[in-house]
Amino acid sequence: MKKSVIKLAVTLVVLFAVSSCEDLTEEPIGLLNPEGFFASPEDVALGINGGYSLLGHEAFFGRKLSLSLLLRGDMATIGDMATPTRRIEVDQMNMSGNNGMVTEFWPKGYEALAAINYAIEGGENLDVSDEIINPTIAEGRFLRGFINYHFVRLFGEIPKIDFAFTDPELAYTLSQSPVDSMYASIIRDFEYAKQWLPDVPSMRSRPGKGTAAGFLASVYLTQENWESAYDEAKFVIDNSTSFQYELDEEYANLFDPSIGVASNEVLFEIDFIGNDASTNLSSLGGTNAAIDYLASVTGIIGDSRFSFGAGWSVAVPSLNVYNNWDSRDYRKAISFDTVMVFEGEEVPYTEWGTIPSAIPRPHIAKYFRALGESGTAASSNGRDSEIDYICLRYAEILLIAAEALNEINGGPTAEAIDYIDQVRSRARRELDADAGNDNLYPQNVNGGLSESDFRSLVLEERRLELSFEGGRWYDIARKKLGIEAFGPSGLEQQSFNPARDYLFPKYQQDVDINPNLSQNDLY
Amino acid sequence: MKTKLTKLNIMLILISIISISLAQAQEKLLKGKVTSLENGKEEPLPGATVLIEGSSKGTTADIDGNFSIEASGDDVLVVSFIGYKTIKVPVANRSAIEISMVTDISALSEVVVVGYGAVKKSDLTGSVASVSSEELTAYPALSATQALQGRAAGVQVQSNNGGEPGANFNIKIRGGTSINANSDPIVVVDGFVGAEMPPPEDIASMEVLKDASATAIYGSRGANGVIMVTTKRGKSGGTRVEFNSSYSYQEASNQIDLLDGEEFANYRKEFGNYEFQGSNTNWQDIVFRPGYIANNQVSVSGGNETTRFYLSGTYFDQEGILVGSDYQRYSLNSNVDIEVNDRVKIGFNLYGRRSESNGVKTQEGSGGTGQAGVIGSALRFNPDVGIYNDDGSFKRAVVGGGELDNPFAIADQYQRERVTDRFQSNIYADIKILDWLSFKSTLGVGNTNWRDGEFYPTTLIFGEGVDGVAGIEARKQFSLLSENYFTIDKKIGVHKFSWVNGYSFQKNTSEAWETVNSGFISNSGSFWALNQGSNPGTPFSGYSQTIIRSFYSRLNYSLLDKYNFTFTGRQDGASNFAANKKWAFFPSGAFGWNIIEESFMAPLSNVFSEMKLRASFGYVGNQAISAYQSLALLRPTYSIVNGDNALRVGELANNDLSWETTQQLDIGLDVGILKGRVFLTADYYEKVTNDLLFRRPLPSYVGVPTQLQNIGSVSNKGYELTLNTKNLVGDVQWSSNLIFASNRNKVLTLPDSVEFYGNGPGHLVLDTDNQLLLEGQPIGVFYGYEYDGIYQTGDTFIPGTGFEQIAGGERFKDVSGPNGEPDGVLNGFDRTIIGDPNPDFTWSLNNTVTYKNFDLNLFIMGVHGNDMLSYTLMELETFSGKGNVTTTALERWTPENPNTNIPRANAGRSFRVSDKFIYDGSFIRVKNIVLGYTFPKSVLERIKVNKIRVYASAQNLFTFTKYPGLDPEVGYENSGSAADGNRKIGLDYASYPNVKSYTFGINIGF
Repeated sequence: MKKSVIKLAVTLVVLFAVSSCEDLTEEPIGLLNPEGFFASPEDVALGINGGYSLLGHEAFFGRKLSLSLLLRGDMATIGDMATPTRRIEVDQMNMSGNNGMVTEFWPKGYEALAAINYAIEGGENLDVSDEIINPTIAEGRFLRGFINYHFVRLFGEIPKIDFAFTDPELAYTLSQSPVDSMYASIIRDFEYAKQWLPDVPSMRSRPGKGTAAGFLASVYLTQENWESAYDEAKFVIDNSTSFQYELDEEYANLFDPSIGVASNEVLFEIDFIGNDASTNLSSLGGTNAAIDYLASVTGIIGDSRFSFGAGWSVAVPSLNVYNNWDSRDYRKAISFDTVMVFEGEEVPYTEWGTIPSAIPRPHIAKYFRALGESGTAASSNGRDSEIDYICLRYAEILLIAAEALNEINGGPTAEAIDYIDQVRSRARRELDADAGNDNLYPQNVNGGLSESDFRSLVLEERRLELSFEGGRWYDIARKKLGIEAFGPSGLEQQSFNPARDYLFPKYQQDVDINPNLSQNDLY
Repeated sequence: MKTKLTKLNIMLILISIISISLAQAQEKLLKGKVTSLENGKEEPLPGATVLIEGSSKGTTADIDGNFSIEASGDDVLVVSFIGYKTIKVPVANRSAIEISMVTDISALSEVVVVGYGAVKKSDLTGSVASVSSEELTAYPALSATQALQGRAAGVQVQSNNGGEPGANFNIKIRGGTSINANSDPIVVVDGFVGAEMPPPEDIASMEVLKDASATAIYGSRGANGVIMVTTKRGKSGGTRVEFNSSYSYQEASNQIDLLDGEEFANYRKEFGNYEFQGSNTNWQDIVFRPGYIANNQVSVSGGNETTRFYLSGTYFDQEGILVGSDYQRYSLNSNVDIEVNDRVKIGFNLYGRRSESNGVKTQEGSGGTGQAGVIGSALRFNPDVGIYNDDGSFKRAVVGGGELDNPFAIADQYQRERVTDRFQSNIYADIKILDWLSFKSTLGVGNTNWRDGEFYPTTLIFGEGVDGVAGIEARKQFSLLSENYFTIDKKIGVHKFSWVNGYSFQKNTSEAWETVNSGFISNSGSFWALNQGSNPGTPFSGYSQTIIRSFYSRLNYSLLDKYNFTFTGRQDGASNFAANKKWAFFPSGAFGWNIIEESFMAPLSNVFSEMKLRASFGYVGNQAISAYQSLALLRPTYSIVNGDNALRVGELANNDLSWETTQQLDIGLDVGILKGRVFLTADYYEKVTNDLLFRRPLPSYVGVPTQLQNIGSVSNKGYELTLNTKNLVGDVQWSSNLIFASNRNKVLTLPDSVEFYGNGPGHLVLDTDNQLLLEGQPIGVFYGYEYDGIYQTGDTFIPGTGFEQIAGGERFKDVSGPNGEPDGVLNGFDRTIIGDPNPDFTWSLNNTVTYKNFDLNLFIMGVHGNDMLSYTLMELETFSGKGNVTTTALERWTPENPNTNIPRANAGRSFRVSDKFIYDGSFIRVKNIVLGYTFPKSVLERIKVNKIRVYASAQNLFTFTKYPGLDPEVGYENSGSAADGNRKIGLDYASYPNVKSYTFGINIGF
């Protein structure tokens, strides 16, 4: 009896030990291992899509970057002073490396780059013909150039991330690349994109050949490589028919989110989807992954015109911006919002002082009012809108060509003047054959301007034509206009330090982690 | 695999039943009765064990204390019962025998449940605290975890959200051993690792294993301590029915004094045109209501010499003091033990529970920029506005941009329901192969299924613009455990061995799915009509599986009953460990010295009844990695490209990711004085946890924010005292139990020497992280500015962006600058450590007095030296016009009232964390007072009832604290993840307060 019990027990234990040898190797179900994931061009496209999507995140164009660009320039300043300090710091030129805008959009940009780089590398390892995979890779390389172009202008010397990280140890000592080297890399990416992208992309939130060329023009302009800037702009202009680019007849259409298909003027835009944030799962990034706040932060406190409610008056132009703009300019009316509805009454901005918390200055209209009047989907305060955030449009290509020509030839050529006139003519609303219906202003450019007069004229044209679209700061930085723009006779008065303030501070946490990454001067 | 194991277990048990060995030779029938002296009268002692010495034959006394056994005339009976001195009685040819037992006042003779066995307390070398059933059921508790609060030295129990019905609790044993991984101990219920504790009423005892010697047998899961739960079981001798019922009336203990409608309107006028809205609403009165708890349990138990059973049902019903919050729990618990023969014992446990809770958002999250929660909104919402508009819709706040839901609307309209079903069962067979060798096999299965439903109707801001948002979410978790171990018990002369060797296999799986929709046809369908929405969100599902295989061994060796040694080791292999680190080994050793047994103690024997010194050292782990965490991943992300998917890089691989290892030294002393009238247990411990799991921040240009790495260490040192005294014996009996514990926690190393985190309620839009981990500091110290009162006219203002430069404005200290020196400018450099949320010490005192049929219990708890950061008061005392404020605003600075230290109202003032909002969170709380009356036997016999006790009690009747918020014993943001539970300590924002409660109850036994 005893023995049989022993035998039984021993046998059972041996059986257990043997039978329970289930493997400890993990085989996750439904999780995506990057190794071996990219097996087809479609897989690569998914990674590229990640890049597009992360650009629309609240931490990037959804708010943090786009608002920073608005505030940093001289066309908008803080309205409601109770807004978070991080925004005030960007506006008032006293940022630190821990500024809460940078700490958000710097990592978000690199998160997008990681998605893009993984996809590019996956695409490059595919064994398919160039014709099949390169157009997809080209989208990735365009986006990589696009992000790096923003970052090199904002931060100067930065780490060049043109590969997919697998070993994080490398990151702790990675060197920052000189600005020239960053531009070289950006140009390579845009060149590749220009080579392989289609003439006409499926939608204008994706790049085509002309988009890449347009950005090359912009890059060269920033580098003051006038010849190349002109060549690339000219390439776009010359191919505008096949690339389907033209100035939109109606300036206001550019900002109207109810127009389903983007205007032919748009070379590249971030296409926000309205009212999709509240139901976005946390596993897909939650609300912030799918939301934009441009309308909210530029909208008017106290205004009850629109069903989605009032705005927050965060980025509001100074009165100078409004007063200095010729009121005959149609673009002024489209750019500014001067009347709100308060307690059922229309109230002009001059009387907003009596409305609690309201900021009595004309507000930016291109987002808040455009959205409100379009009646498209949005959530409260106009957040989570259908707005298409324009990154580059044909008017800017014309202005780039004009600016470059002026520099090349030591003065405006007829061609250069014509480009300006094209832009101005559209602003006159020449919508029908009857000239009597046109505005008289802005008039065509007079002949006989000096090189420097024309240079200023183009910059002014850029400031007005592209107002509140996020480019002004880059113009100030590239033309070193800080002292003037923020001085006593500038549109905004800020204590501007040219030795520091043309660059944003880099993300301090990264500077602290990596001894080879140095903070920008005086931060 | 699963089926194979199950089959084997069943086979094993079946074979055990078949292999019944027959009874031995016949002897004479001996009848007897076991009694004990209670209150001067011999009372029967049911359940006492009667054994014949030198054989394995035995029986137990029935309900009347009677037993019968076949015995020969020269046999000796060994009679034993827990809590009584074991006695030997020669049969001496008698056929009837009366045996009177004497209570054993020596605490060290108790048996203590440890991992894979039980030991006599005198042989125990590790640090183990026991909590009795009486303590666990002293007042109606949400769960046994809550009931554990204050009952064992070194065990801290913290609610996730104050007194919220259905709240979860964090347990920390001897401080937080981890920073980012779970610091909760593992729970072992009747041998089932990871099982759920049944309700307190079903628990016979809880043992808390604290040191490495005690917990190393659980290897990679032992670092946070182990809670061993032994459920109540049937006793032989008749069937007992017990009925326990109580009803508690609950109410909020206090309110924060806020401005009333007119005061608010006057205050608000300072910010510009404002019109009094005409109402005067005390929102706290509206959202708080009297609540109740009804707690009922019926149990039936009993059995005979070979089969015993226990069956119990409980129903716990709580209506919270906050409108919209309630919780119900139903459970069934049963077990059966069968002695197939004198060598084979089998049995099973079955436990099922359903709970249903309706939650409210107390703090934030209702939507809109205001992000109201019921309590948060009740505090800051316009007091000059009523609940409803004329059209029946809910009023919104007038200040703050119309973005704030009114508190009643959130409480009443927002729905969040969780239904949880838990089922667990384990079966076991215990085979005595030889007199000194036994084998035990256990097979357990456990299931937890929960479902959450959530709905924001169009009456709330969040649902308004999108025609309602509803979601439903479910989890299905399964655990299978097979444990098999041999125990060798052998005594050779003065050497005594007990050696456990075993193998364990456990598999856990988790399934998850959820979906949301918005754009509903009506508000009537809630989350049960998701198909009626028009804007579905992305659905989610997920699956994960972990496997752990382990070999373990423990040797207890005792020499001369004086010197006890314990050696323990466990080898764990786990699927969730990274590719290069699949197996881990955890050893420990301990020594116990029964000094009282030494001859030199003999002269002191009338003073000391016990004296034992214990020392242990060992390594234990925290298997804190969840499945697949070491693998590289791509993750889907929201796609802006309509109709297409999008991916981002989720994780980089870490092939060396492993467990956290805690090394712990424990030195303890057990002393009994005056024949057990006084019993003291003192322990000193030092723990260092290395290889802490950290989400190490990667340079952000990697594109993946963090990587999980084993980096960093933390230490916990402390001491614990438990003093049990029998102050009065005799007619009036008074016993006390004093517990004292002090723990010092220190961060030793971090990936980047400092880590900031925690930026408070989102709608306050604080730019800063307000807590930090810093090498050399305890976990979670607060970080912020030093408040320096207010500026008066004529003061020099310290410049700084966003800082006030105005008389009546807030003034802060210029503590430092970019060069580490004060620089005359206020900015981020002037932030410094401003508080420590870790308590200096905690204590509790439990007093029980009985006199005749009356019993009185007083349970007091204290926590001292912990700071709290109140975001609530920050919001209510910043005076920037965004909402209602406390009545201190009435004394604020104005040009007419400059002689004050209360800042002026200023719309431009942003919320700023400073030591102004750090408060001493110390408190002493009278947790429970009970007065009970047990009806005398004479009365009961007439109505044929065994026992009736009625009692009245009060919980949280008095709280002594300087903390100015609603309640010091609350938490905020500490439930999101394991890391939050460890790090986000000492925070209060509109938390659900603990409540005062008055309870009436009855215990009836048949």
